Formats: sequence, structure tokens, C-alpha cells
Amino acid sequence: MSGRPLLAVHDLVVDLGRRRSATRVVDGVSLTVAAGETVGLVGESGSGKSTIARAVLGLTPVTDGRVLIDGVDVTHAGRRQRRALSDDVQLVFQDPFSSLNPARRIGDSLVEPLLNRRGVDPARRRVLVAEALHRVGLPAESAHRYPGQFSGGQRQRIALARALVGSPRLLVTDEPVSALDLSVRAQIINLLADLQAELGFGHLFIAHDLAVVRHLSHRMVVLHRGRVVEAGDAETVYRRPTHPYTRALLAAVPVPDPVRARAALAAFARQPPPAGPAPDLGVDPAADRHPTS
Amino acid sequence: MVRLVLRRLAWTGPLLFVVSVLCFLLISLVPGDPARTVLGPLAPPEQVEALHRQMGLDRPLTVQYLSWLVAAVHGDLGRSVSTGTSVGPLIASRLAPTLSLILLATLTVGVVGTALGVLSAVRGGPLGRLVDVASVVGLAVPGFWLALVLITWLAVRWRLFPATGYVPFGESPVGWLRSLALPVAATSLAAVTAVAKQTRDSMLDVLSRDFVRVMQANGLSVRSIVYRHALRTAAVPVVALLGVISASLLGATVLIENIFGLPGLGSGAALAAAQHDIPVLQGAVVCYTLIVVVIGLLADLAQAWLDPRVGAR
Amino acid sequence: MNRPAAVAVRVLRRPLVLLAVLWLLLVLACALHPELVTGRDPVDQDLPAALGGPSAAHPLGTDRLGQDLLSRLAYGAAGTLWGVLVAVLTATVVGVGLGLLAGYLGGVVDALVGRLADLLFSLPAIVILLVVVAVFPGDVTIAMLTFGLLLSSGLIRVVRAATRSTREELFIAAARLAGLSTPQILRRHVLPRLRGLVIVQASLVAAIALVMQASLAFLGFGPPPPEPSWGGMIDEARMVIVRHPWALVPPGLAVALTVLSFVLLGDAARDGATAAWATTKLARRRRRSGRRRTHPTVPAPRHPTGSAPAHPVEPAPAGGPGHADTLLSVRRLSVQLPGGPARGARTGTTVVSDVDLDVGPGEIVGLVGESGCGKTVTALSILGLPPGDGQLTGSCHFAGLDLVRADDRQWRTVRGRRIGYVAQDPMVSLDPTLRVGVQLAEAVRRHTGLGRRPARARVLTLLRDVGLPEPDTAARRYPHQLSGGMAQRVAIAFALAGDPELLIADEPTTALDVTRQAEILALLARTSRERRLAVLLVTHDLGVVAALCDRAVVMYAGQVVESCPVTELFARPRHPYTRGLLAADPHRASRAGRLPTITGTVPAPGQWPTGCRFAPRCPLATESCRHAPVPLDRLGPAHAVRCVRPDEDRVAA
Repeated sequence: MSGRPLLAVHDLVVDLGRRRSATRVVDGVSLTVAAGETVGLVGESGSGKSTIARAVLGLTPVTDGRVLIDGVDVTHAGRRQRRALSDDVQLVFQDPFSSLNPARRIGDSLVEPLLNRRGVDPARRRVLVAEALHRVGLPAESAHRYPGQFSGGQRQRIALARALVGSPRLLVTDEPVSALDLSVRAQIINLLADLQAELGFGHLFIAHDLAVVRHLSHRMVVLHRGRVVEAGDAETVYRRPTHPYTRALLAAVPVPDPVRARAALAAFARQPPPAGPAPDLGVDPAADRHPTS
Repeated sequence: MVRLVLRRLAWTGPLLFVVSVLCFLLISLVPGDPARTVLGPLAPPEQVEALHRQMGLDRPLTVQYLSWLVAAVHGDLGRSVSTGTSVGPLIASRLAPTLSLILLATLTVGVVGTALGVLSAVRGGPLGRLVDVASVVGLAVPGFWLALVLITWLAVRWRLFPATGYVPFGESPVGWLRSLALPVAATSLAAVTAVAKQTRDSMLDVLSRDFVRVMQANGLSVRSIVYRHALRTAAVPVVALLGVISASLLGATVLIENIFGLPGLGSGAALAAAQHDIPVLQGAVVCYTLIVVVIGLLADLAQAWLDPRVGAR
Repeated sequence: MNRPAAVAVRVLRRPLVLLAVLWLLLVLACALHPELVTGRDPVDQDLPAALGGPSAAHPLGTDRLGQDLLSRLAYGAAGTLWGVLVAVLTATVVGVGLGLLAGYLGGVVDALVGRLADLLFSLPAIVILLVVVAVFPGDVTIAMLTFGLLLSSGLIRVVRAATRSTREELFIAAARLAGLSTPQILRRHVLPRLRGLVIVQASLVAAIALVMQASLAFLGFGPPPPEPSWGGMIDEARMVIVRHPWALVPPGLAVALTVLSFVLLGDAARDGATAAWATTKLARRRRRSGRRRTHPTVPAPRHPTGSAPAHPVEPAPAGGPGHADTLLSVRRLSVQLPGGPARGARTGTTVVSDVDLDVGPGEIVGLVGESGCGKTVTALSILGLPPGDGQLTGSCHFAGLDLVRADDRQWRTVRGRRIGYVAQDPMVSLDPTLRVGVQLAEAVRRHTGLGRRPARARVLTLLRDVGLPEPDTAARRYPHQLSGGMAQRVAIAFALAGDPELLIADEPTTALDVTRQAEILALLARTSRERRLAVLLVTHDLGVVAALCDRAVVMYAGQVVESCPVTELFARPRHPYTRGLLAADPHRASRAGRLPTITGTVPAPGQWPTGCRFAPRCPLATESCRHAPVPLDRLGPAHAVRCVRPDEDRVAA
């Protein structure tokens, strides 16, 4: 593990909306992702987790703070720099149905990250596309079909293939499995883990499901109303949450165990989670120890 | 709701301004002397010269425009070059037949079209297919041609309605209705089919929405679901279309009034165009634009009343 | 993309469209070489034959000057088509260009273009055209150019709206992240999306322009008299309308047929251009909304028409566990979607087969499975509202009635009064146009017969019961002013308005955040306990089942595969599918290593295997599993499973 993280976010602040009625969606978030590492970003809707992803990728303007990719400040990168960055950073969305253009063949969508890359001729592109499809477990001839001919799980595989076709070093995934059925979800989770082991990319994994995050991530960052309330080793946070919000969040997730689930629901009914703004704990996830894996 | 009205009204001033400028620009584009165009190639030069001065064409364009604008704001739209009468009163005298025609036609279109649409959506089957087909055929049959067919059969052959002429409402309400029956029928047929189709599609869409199923499953009466809940939601795009249609009926009146000999704004404008009577045409354009704006405003208000989300936007 | 030839073939296969194309070709031929169609000169006056009907010499008759109508139609085609062409080109170029710019760039450009479109739209077209023909007498080209400009407002709006909505699509963001430039994105993603739309709009513009052109000629602003034009011919017919009405027919028909052809061809071209992927677009909408759309017909009495029930109603053969005091008892319920005129798949497919299911009073039963397994269809079928006009067989006993055979009058006593229903997405399960209180009051009055005031008081009680702290305020809100959690509480209040004994809740928490979900689950648990309300809870979440349910019914590919008390389900699952689902749940999996998975995906209805439907994905499947359908066997007093090897304890490695 090199000393310099692949992705470093420092005191990120993002305001959304028109100037006067803007709301602070992300409020001073810091986190890092190293090569080969998966960092899980957890929170409910409105916690700002997707906004962080969009800010990292330049899809949303940043109000304050810095985003560094491989040590290079890309907070306010221009179009040209962003396009160059696309070789290094890719995103997978939650919705496997709208993230692929229904009117274009799979191959046409998959080839896009390679289109503006120098030194990749059409023949090479075809080879890379076939390789990417193979990697996610789909036959090469899928390239000639339309997204509508695939199921949700298959489309998410295709989206993964598109993200990885240009061999990025950092992969950001925004709820990549929450729209999928249970049996398919496990397949995609395994695929993500396998691909990381094979390709060694850093992975910022955004999800609301603590169990999934714990399974896939080395470290976990819990967000509440735009702030980090807890961060640390994924297993530790899951087993021994320290912040009341994390505890409430964990208690709210029904576990597939009747005894525990009922007890948790009864406890929840007696004492709902804190609703006020989370206290600033001054957590600096970058200072946390790295996973041992 | 109030904001919606204000926004609409705020838009009216600039709109009229642009429309009037456009009219002026068009006239300045006329090849040669407009006065010559008005009077025709046979008129003696001194007469053309006189008209030229009377129309103020010897002054710069901006001055011409500004003086027209100032006068227009004071209600003076100039004088007809063919009859010499004042444009304002001329237009006012021709408003009643046109407004009657539009009002009745819009009413017919709204009531008949919506009823057909709802029925065909609820019943389905042959009626539904009929509405689908009729909407295409309705588009294909020109209203003015239909008007001639109606005259041939209903007025000339069977003498059910007068072929031409207009009876003011004040004179005889029944005569008024009879004199407008054929014009309204000819104007509204295509629009009825369009509204029926839109209502049908919109109803089918709403009836397939979740809230309809939730209401069905929770035992609300079918009548209430269809006519109170679904129709209200489905009516929003229908009202929008009705606004567009009644504005476009305005265009149809030009032909229909011409055919049925109604002394309205449309036949007046056509006559003015034939006589190159530019001031009357300008007045007609301003008047028509105002009517379109009012129709748009009414359609907006109706939509906001039907759907709270429209007004909140 | 689509090969043009293939599109053309697809389009021409429809007979009406073929006719439209032939007609337009004929008109085009007339426009280019009218002498090929008719040997007569359009201005040749054959006075003795004036006002004649169709004859050998004059196939379409003559006008009052004895001019041949066919010839005049043929020679009038050129001017007509030219005018249409000018208008369509103007409208399309201006409309698509400005619409695309405004929609994609947004901001100031968008505002300006939007204003321009409003302006063009507000101008009274025909009066403007009258000004134009007054200023440029006899110039059709300028008039139609102006008209095209005025008509472009529609195209601007449509293209702008479509571009904007496309721009928000995730695949545009993905393309931008892939490093594509704006022109690349427009060319690859936005323009293809607009093609169908523009084709249809352009065909409409053509139709309207044709009629407008005829109108102008009819008013005398067309080409000067001896020269033929379609509108002019109608005008000439008008002068002899009493003596010779036939003269109206040829030009009127020519206009109508051409307009019809434009519209038909436009529709067909749109369908052809999008056919390769459009069939799947519908499926996508369905998937996305998380459920199948109901066929949009109004509730009608739904009887299995005439046909006697396929099975004896009782006793349930090898059925699920029977309860002495069951509230709802479903036996061998099957749902078949009717074969319709719709193209392709899913016609006459069985989507639910032989479902057995019991719910006792006050009991909470979970109906579990992945999407496409038929759990939502089952729930809606119990309420007599199967999606897509499905046909029900089997029986469904509730409160002394067989709901499968219930008529409208009986349903009136059941829906809302004895069974309530809550849907998945609370934001769309309330009427968006009425205040919450008004809607609830309607339900209360319908079910209880209370007057206006007592009903209002009852509404407030209901709202308080479902945990809304300020019922007064909530009642005055419109649905769009509620948060997801609040809206779901209101939806539950709506279902409770008739004080039912059974609540059917279809994924009531799936659209909510975890803490909101926990609140709703707690509310359901409390309500069930306090009102002794039975709940049939449709869910895909095993955690929800564990937290709330007394018993679980697991569905796979339209069948019940396992049915047992919840404690058994988690402690001793017997069906390999249930075991697989539990093992794949990351809550239960160990932290390290891979998650155990079930390979493959749920087969779609119509693609179910003949034997055990899970066999292709089952690690334990043998030849015997694939031969014949597997019955639902009872293993104990309360446990049933559809597997030939339920005692194998090995789970997929």
C-alpha cells in the first residue's frame, strides 16, 4: 500500500439548489480510498452519500474542500481534465435500467470509455469489449443485443463491464446492488470482490445496507445529514458501533433472525432514533488504520 | 395561483409589443410602395402619393411605429384604407359573431369530446377503436370542406338550417343558435375527435395508475373512482389541449365565417387581406393575439384548479 | 443501428401503410410528371361537358368551365407538395435545432428559446398568414415558410422536453464519465432518442400545412385562377354547390387522403425506427415501477364465465397446512393472462399456478419471493384485481364467500370493509389532486355510512392511530406535500378506514429508508395486535419476515415452494431455494469470503421448466426432479414443501 491514497477527499462541502435557497447536502466530509481497498459509504437517503460520489466524479460542483485523485487536485477540474480523468475513475449507478441507453446496442455503450483514447483502434476496442464482457460473466455476443433483452442482474454486470473496460484505478459504485433481487445481489457482490482481487482498483462503495457494506468493504464511513458520524474498520463498526446514530441505523435493519429482529423492532418502537443534527465527532477517517487485508 | 396569473399577464405586454413590431416589419418589407400595392397598379400616381402621406409612409419607420403604438395604447388603431372607417369600432362590431362561434365550438368540443373519450376509455371495445380511428380521420378532413358538405345536405337539400347569415343573440336566441349550428359543427368536428382521443389516452393512463388500484382494492365505488378521481387527474392534459384547440379554432373561424357569411373578425380579416387593408389587418392581429392570451390564461387557471401541483410549480 | 431496409420492410408490412405509401407515390408522380397520369390539359375548357359527373372522357368529371377535374388535381399536386415541403423543412430545422439547443444547454438559452416558442405559439397563424399574403400576393413559398416557422413552436417544445428528460438519464451521465464530448453525446444518445418523435411531429406538420395551404387557396390567396390548386378547386366547387355538389368530392378526397397518408406513414416510420428496442421499453417501465401494470379497464364483475371450476374446491389435495379457524383460505389459485392482440410473448401465460395459502385471524403471514415469482399477482388476485385482466381459477374462501366467484355486490361488502390494501409506493398510491383528509373521508363515509362531520372526526382518529402527531395539519395536505413515511401512514389509514379484518400489504416498506421502514413495521405490528388485524405481507426481504410475520409462504416461479411458521423457516428451511436465499443474505453470511449464491435468475412466466421449476438452479437436482411437476408435500402439521428431496441437508457449496 503506497503512502499516497488513490482518492482523498478533504472537508468536502456541497450546497445544492439555487444560491438563495441552497441546502448544505454535504458538510465537511473527509475520506480516503487506497488502491485495492474498498471503502463503504453508508447512510439513509438525504445523508449526502450519492452527492459525494457525484462531487468526486465532477457531476456536481463543489462548494468547498478538495478532491484529490492520485495526489492531483481535481476539485474544479475543467472539461478537458475531466475527460482525461475518465481513464482513471469510473462509476456504476444503482439503476441498471436507466444507466444503459435502451436504443443502443450493448457494444456501443461499452465502447464509449475507449472512444477518445489515443492508440486504441477499432479492432482493439472490440477485443477489449469482449474481454470486459467475459470478465463479468457474459458471452461476447451480448455486444450485439439491446439492454431490454437482459435482466436487471445482467444489466448491472454490463454496467460493471462498461466501467471496467478502460481499466480504471478507482471505481465508484452508487448502490450497485440495492435494485437487485436477493439471489442476484449475492452474485454481483461476489463479482465486485473478485474483480477487485483481479484488477486491484480502489473502490468507493455507496450503499444504505450495512450488512452488504460490511461484507464487501474494508473500511466503513457512516454519514448522517451530510456529516461523517462514524468511520473505521467495517467489521468493528458493524459489531461495535459507538455513535448513537449508527446504533439506531443498525437496530432499524431487520435481520433475518426472528428472535433478534423482533427484539430490535420492539426496542425501536420504544425508542426511535435521534432525529436532530448529528454532533460533530471530529472523525478523520484518513487517520484511521488501514485494513489488514 | 395568483403568481400564475401575474406571470401570464406580465408576458402579455411584451407579446403584444413583439407582435406589433412584426406586423410593422412585414409592411416595410413590401417591395415597392405599400400605397401602390393597396391601390393597385391602375391608380393614378397623385392618389398613391396622397395615400402614401396619409399612411405616414414618408416618415422614418421607427417614427411610424411609435406613433401607431401611442395611438394604439389610446385605443386608436388607425383607419381602414378601403372604407376610411376607424379600425377600433370596426373590429368591435365584428367581435360578437366570432366570439359566439369560438365559445360554442369550444363548449361543444369540451363536452362532446370529453364525454366520448371517457366513455370509450371506460367501455373500451368498438367505441374505443372508433375514437382512435376518428382522431386520425378528423385531422384529415378540412373543416372548410366539411362546411361545404354540411351546407349541401343540411341547408340546401333538407333546409334544416340556414345556409348563411348571422342572427345576433339579442335579436333571437333561437335564431342565433340556428345560424351558428352548422358553423359550429364544421369547426368542431376535427377538434372533437382530437379531444376524445386525448381524453381516452389520458383516462387509460390514469386508470392504470397505482392510486386507482388502491382505491378499487379498498372498496371505493367505481363511479367515484372514474368520475371523481381519475377524470380529475386525466382532465389536466385535456384542458391544456382544449386551450390549444380553442386558440386554433380562432384560425378556423376565418374560413368558416367566410363560407357561412358570418360578419365576424375572420371574414373581416380575409376581406382586408384581399383589399391589402393593412391597418385593419394589424388591428385584427392585435385582437386575435389578445384572445389567444386570454384563452391560455383560462386554460392555465383550469389546470391549476384541477391539479394542486400545477399551481405550486 | 437499424438497417433502413429492414425498417422499410417492417413498415410496409402493414396494409394501410402500404396504401398510404402508394398514394403518396402517386401524388409525387403527379407533382413531377402530371402528363403521365392524364393526357388532358388542366386549363383546357370543354364547355359542352361543363359540370359533368365522372365519364369516360373525364374520369372525375368537370368543373363549370368544363375543365377536367382529374387533370386539375394532377397538375395541382406539384404546388401542394412544394408548399408542404417548405413548411416541413422550416419547422423541422428550426424546431429540432432550437429544441435541442435549449434542452441540452439549459439556462439562458433555454429561457430565451422557451419564450420564442411561446411567442410563436401565441401568434394567430392564419391571420399572420393573411398579412403575409396581403404583403406578398401569390407567393406560396413565403407563406408556407412563415407557416413552418409558426408550426415549429410545437416541435421546439417537444424536442426540448425530450432532450431535457434524456439529459437527466443516467446513461448520459455515464457517457460523460466515459469521456465523451458534448457533440458525441448529442449524436450517440440524444438524437437517436428524438428520431421517432421528430418523424411523428414532422408528419403532423405536413398534414396541417397541407390543410392550411388548401385553406389559403380556398380563400383566393393561392395561385391565380386558371392555374390549378386543390384548395382553389374546392373554392370553384363552392360556386356550383347547389347545381353540382359532386365537384366537391375529388379535391376534398385528395386532401383528406394525402393528410391521412402523412399521418399513417409518420406513425409507421416511428414504430419502425424504434421497433428494435421499443418492445423492451415497456418491459423496462414495468420492471422499474416494481410491479406489473394493471390493465386499465374499470373494475367489472369478473366471473370465470360459465365454465365450471376446474377443481373441486375442497379438500385441498396435498395442500398447505389447514387451520381450524382460518380467515382466508386460498386453494389452487391460478392466474392466467389472456392472449390478446398484443404482439409477441405473454399471451395466454400462466403467471401464478396452484397457490395454497391460509391466513388466520390476527395472524401476520409473509408472502416471500423475488420479483417475477408471482407474489404481487397472488395478492391482487385475492382482491379480485389480477393484473392484465388475468383469469382466475381455484378458490379463495374468506368470510363465507368464495372470492374467485364473488360478484360486484359481494365485493362491495369485502373490499375496504373486510380486506384493506396497501401498495408499495406511497407517493403514487393516493389521488394526487385531492387533499388527504378529503380522500380518507370518502373512504370512511363509504364504509361506515357516517355523515360528513362524524366522518371527519373519524378521519382525524385514524390519522392519529397511524402515528401522525398533527392529524389536523396532515388532513389538509396534498399527497405531494407528504414525506414517504408520512404518505405510507396515510395509505395505511386509508386501508383501515373500513376497519377490516385482513390487510393485504404489498411491499409496504420497500420504497422507504431503513428507519422509516422500522417505523412502519412497528406500526403494522401494533395495529395488528390492537385490532386483531390479520396481515398478508408481500415482501422480498427476509428480515422483514423475521421481524413481523408469524408464518411465511415462499413463492418461486408462480408456485408456493415452502410454507411454515417463521421460526421454522429460519431454523430449519427445507426447500433448496429457501436455503439458498437465506444463505445468500449478507446478514447471515460470514464476514470473510464469498457469499453463497444461487446461480442464474428467476425464469420468466412462460419459460418455466416442466418438472421442478427450481431444478435448473438447484445444486441438489437430479433427473427425477426434471420429469414431472413436484407436489406441495406436507412435512408436519404446519410445514409444507415442494421438493422431492426435502431431507437433504446439504446446501450449495
